[in-house]
Amino acid sequence: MTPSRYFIFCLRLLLRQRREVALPLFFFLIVLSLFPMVFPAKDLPSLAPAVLWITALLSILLSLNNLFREDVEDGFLTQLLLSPAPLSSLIAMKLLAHWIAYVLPLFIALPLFGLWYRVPTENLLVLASSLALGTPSLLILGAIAAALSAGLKQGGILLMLITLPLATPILLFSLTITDMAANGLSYTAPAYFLLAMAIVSASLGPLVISASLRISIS
Amino acid sequence: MMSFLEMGGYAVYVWSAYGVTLLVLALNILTVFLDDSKTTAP
Amino acid sequence: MIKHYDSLKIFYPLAGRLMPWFGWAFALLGIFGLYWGLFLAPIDAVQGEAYRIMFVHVPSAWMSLMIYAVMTICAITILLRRSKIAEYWLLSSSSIGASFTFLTLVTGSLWGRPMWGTWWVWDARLTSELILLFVYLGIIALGNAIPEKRKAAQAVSMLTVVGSINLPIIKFSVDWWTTLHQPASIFRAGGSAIHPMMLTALLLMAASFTCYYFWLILWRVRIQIRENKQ
Repeated sequence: MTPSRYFIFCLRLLLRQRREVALPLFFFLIVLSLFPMVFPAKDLPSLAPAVLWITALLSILLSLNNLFREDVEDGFLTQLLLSPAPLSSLIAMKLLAHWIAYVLPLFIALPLFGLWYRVPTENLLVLASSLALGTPSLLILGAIAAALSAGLKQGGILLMLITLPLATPILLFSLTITDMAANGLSYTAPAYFLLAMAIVSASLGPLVISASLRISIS
Repeated sequence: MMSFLEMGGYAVYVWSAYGVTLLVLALNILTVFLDDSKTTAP
Repeated sequence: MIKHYDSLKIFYPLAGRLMPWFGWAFALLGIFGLYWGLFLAPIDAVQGEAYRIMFVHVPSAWMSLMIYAVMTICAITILLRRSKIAEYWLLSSSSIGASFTFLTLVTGSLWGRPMWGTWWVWDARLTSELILLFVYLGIIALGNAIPEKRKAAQAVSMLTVVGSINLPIIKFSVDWWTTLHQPASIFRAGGSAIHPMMLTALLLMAASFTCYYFWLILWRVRIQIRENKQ
């Protein structure tokens, strides 16, 4: 299977499972709705970026729970290993499809978030760009953990425990962006840092993930 | 000797820091010791 | 040469012969270190007697990082070539590393309470040490979740390597974040030059802890070699 055909295949699969694909988005919206209920309205604008990022972090990690499970259990992965295209290129395609299916909807939910938390549009744009820069490395980091814990009984909670501490830099750099923007400072430095992390993880991540999957099915 | 134990009024902090260190080091030794006796026993 | 020593047959008796040396060195250096730290080192002008917590706190912090570095070496070895000893060494190290990280946090807290009047602040050093503890716990959890030893070691080595790339970034990001939010650091920048007696005590304790680690790790690797045979 060539990478491009595999990409189409992954997208079709996700489209067929759209009811399941919507679940992390529901989770995202429900958790976002909890904070305005418990915090006074005047605190919400200052909490907004952190709440958005932590909620996005959790819902993305939730979506990764079943990323490789079925492929490992029904032997599809062993089949992929036999295809002439390198496994890492196929995994890169799978992750791209995953990002489109699970992370892109978060951006579409952003206007609603802005409405709930009274975030002005220009701040929403900054938040959106921080998400765009941070989520690729987050997804890849989580996918490494998903590959290592694929096929384990406690896989879901392990995925969280492994990824969350390692994800702190992504969280902190993203919130630095929104923080500096809110104070009228130039936020190019943390933005470039996140971009660098995204590039490094996009180029090395698929290799690490395919090696991790090989360990998991060995 | 008493003044040594008092640690200039910081006795609680200093001795609990040393105490917890010894405790954790000892617990690590104990777990390895127990593992050891488990494997040597037939 | 390395291949030669990487055979369990040579390693097992060698570790057995080295173990008592490390064990006794740990005990003796520890006794000397405690004596130096608690009796010989002079009282600190600023912090009074409370600074003596340093002699367990700072070596623990060094150990928490050193053990991770050793684990990374084991992990790379495992990923590049098969090595039973590296596998056992890696799997046995994480709990000792976590213990030292935990000790660093607890003794630091006990030091912070009288000095800054609080048990905990979200300061850069404390935060990154806490994250290091979580990374260790994640490694332990992953290692425990996989029943087969070899597979567990391989998965853990992958995670260890990813973590070691991440740890400097974590440190950097936390530093940056806290300087943005807490301009006034509670730590004295630079600080006074350390008294030679204090330095001696510190180095003795660090050497003692290092011997402790090697003593326990050799012991644990031997146990696992035996378990593997049965």
